[in-house]
Amino acid sequence: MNGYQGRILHLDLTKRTFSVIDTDKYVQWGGGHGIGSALYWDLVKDKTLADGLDPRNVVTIMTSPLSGTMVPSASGRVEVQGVGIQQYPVNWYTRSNFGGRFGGQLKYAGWDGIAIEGKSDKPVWIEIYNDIVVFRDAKGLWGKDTQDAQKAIWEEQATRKPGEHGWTEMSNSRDGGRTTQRSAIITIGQAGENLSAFGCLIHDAGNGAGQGGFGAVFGGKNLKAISVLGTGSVEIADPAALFDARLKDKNEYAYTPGEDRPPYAFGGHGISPQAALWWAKSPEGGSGPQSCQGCINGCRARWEAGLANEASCQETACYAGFDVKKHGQGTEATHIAVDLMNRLGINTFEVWGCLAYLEALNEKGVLGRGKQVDTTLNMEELGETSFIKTFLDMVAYRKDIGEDLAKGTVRASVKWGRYKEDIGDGSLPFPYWGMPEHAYDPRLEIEWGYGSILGSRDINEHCFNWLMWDALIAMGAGKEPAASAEEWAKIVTDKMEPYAGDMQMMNYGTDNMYSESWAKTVAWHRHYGQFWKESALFCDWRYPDFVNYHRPDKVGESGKAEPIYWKAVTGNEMSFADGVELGRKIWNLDNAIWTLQGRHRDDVKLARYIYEHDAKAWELGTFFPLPVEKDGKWEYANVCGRKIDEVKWEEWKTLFYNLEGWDNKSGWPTRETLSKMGLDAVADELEKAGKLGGAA
Amino acid sequence: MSEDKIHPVDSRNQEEPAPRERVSRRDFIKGIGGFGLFAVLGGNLARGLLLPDDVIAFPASEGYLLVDSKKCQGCNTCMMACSLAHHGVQNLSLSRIQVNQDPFAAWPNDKSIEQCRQCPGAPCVAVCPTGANHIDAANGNVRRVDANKCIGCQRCVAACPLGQSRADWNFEEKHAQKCDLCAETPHWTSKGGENGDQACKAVCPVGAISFTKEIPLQDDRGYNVNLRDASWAQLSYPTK
Amino acid sequence: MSEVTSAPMDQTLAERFVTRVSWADRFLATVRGKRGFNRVQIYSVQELLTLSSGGAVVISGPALAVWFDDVVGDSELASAIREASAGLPLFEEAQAVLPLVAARHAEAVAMAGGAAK
Repeated sequence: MNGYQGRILHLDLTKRTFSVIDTDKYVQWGGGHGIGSALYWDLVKDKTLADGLDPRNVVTIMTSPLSGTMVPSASGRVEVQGVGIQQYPVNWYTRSNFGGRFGGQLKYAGWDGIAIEGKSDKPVWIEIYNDIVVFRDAKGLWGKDTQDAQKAIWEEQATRKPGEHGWTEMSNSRDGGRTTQRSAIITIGQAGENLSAFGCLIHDAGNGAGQGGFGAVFGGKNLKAISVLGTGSVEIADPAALFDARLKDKNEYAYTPGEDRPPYAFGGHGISPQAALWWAKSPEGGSGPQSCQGCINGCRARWEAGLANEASCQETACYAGFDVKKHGQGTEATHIAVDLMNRLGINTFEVWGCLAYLEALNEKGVLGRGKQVDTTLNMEELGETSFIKTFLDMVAYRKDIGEDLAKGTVRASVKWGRYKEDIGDGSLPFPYWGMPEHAYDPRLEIEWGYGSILGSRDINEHCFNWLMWDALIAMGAGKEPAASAEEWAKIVTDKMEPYAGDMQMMNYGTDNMYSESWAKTVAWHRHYGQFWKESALFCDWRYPDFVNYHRPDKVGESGKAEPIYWKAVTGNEMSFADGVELGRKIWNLDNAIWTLQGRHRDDVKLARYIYEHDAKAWELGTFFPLPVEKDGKWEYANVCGRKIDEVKWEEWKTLFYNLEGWDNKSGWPTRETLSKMGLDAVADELEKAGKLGGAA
Repeated sequence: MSEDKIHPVDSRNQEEPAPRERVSRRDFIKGIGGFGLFAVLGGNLARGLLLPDDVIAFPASEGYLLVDSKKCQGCNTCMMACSLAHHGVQNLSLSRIQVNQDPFAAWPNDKSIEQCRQCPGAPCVAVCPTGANHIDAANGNVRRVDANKCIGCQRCVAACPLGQSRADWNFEEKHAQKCDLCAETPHWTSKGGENGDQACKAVCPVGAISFTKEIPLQDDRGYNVNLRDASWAQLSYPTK
Repeated sequence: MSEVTSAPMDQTLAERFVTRVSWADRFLATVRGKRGFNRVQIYSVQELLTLSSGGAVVISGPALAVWFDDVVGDSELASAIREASAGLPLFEEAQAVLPLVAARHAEAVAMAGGAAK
């Protein structure tokens, strides 16, 4: 089986047994998210399940056929799915994702993924050495942070398998496989152990599956960690083609040190291996690049200071603003903060939104000892190392305000009786399903908010967003963006099969934001994301390669490259459009699950402040340039200052549901749509539950 | 990281080297004879070459991989490329170059690239009872294993003087193997070998692997070098 | 530059300069990181100046002008800010306008007898 290993590990934590699921049945779903959702559908009988801590909740950790291979920036990521505990008001079936080495090791061990159900009656960790799977007592690990837990596992494993000449034997046989690598471990910290919605999964120093509260889901199952080490092979259909494709990518599309650096801001294919750091000051001393397995150019670093290894992007921003405000410049408070969040296994996005909210509550005069939000937290110290240590301790151990926050910031707001006011004025910046803003205000970057509320979470897919950063950084410095607004719109929309040709799909103008073109954009984005990014596992930092400044025509390799890699590994001739269509199928399956969980279009609403207040400013102030077309002329226009018109948006939602073939009164999938995709069984289950769209 | 100690493990190399001052120029020339060895390394002659007749002398390889562990991004693409080019599969355990990492260690002690050094003394060749591990004259004297002759004794694995053996046991195909500078890469369209390309070097995204025909200084500094220049500094990484 | 505008500082204006504003009236500034940016909510002129002392701050001149106009109530300073930042790229505006703010703030502090936190 090229790319696939043919086996999925099915863990029953209640009985502490495992069985093997044949991947063959699920190959039609591609990998990652697709297989995860299909598995969830099959394994969870009662799909009304909306409590992530319910032992019947099935968590899947899924690779793709590309994991552990040389496909650039598609080797290292792993998709995590299940019912979470973070979302509000309903804990939707949701997803997260993490990078690093875990996916590769799982494949080398002979597994395509893991499905976990049940709940152990005592803390356990799972050890996978190739096909040997052992449930181990986690008594000695429980209570340890993620770094200490991983180190303890490695130490114990080194004692059991000391190795020789620098190689570890996997069995007592010469031919049982050997490796120089240490096991790849995914673990929870104290936040997950204590069932806080802030709890996340951490692998190595800085790979995290943050959203959804999967740390608490693991904790609720008494599952501390999963360790995997493999010495097997991933078969490749056409090794020479894979090699050639990789080198072509490196030589023609990616960045190589020494060349003239094109004007990229952040993500995208041509970016350098310079770490993506938002903090104002880096740790003292030197550093070197660090990346996930197989990445064409990494986005992280490790530090001579020994702090905040592998931290990148938002987590480096999480405390940075408060730090600089307090001290007038960046200090090590930011590095200590991110290091501690990774150690305790705490979701940095939730912390970011939460601290902004707590600051607002303090300014409103309602937070403090004996106040409406009763806490001993000293907000005068916000920005200091002492503050963040105290706060994170409270979150991880559910002390003081951490107890209120244990079900998430939004539920805490409800508990304090603050929700209606604060979600109304935007001081609680959590616009979709109780999740914090990603910085890209839903009122401004249209596909972000729309896609998030139509799904289960902050989409966190920067496909179009990276281009905004390129424009913003250039224009902020008084320069012309490397691609004009019209070039952006043309190049991008040409790749958006099957909707290619409609440039209005990239017109972010206010008078276009409720159009059918935007319905196509949001639909395409979800479909592309569900397959090529969440299932095939092409990394969000590098894909899609829409606009590429290394190319004379600025056209990136997306649309052509993804199928070439897929075929080189699997032998399967899936086209780019086929993949997008498979993504649509997966999206429909997810919507079926949400429907069974109780979703109705009437619930699909962004936070009140999105409809009632203009977005005067966002992360970077009052300038947010996006392509806008007016009277045939394209330009980068500043879209700050608008809100979403609720009436028009509800009309747009109808357009969207019609485009997706869902019942536009309920938002539920219809039999006709499901049947065309071979999902009659899904339609049957919806019908039985009285939730089939369009049914009488 | 382990210190490199080029210490002999085979009894044939146990004699004390002839002191430099006792070797005449004539003896030196006679010693190197037709083997093609050149360059006196840091004042030390490669051990064994000027010793009496019963010493085995190996012609030097005409190619060496050099790495910069401080530049490495730890993506393991070199390892995947190696296994793919040689065996047509992705398998880190079948790679003839290895990268070790400790995600919690402070840079630069967080990772090291462990490549074969094509040792002038070639202890892995010296110990092979069948000549499977041999000097391949047709490919620039690269030290490589003829899988057909390997009987699986694994003496080469034990003989590697480096902490982590560069000679590895291929447990799938059941033979020893080691870096051959891509002399034989049936699954890669590029030409390898000492006059060709090396898979690991070709794919490395950051340029942390290079190739030289000059014999490196025979210690860690010779093989773990500084490949970081001004363009690297532009990425805010140190060049020292 | 010590004389920012032609309008003299008065006690009322000075008090507003050194008063911490409400959440609804806060100003949003940005600090430039190594590659990315960080939002910072500003509740007083003093906070703005402290933030800016490190150098890498991004402030929209027009947005700051609106804040001084509508919240602090110093329309003269607002006009000066608009003028100073006109035509400049966004990332250069802070440099142009902050000295004006600092000078005016110093006048206010002197008159009010102390800065806000």
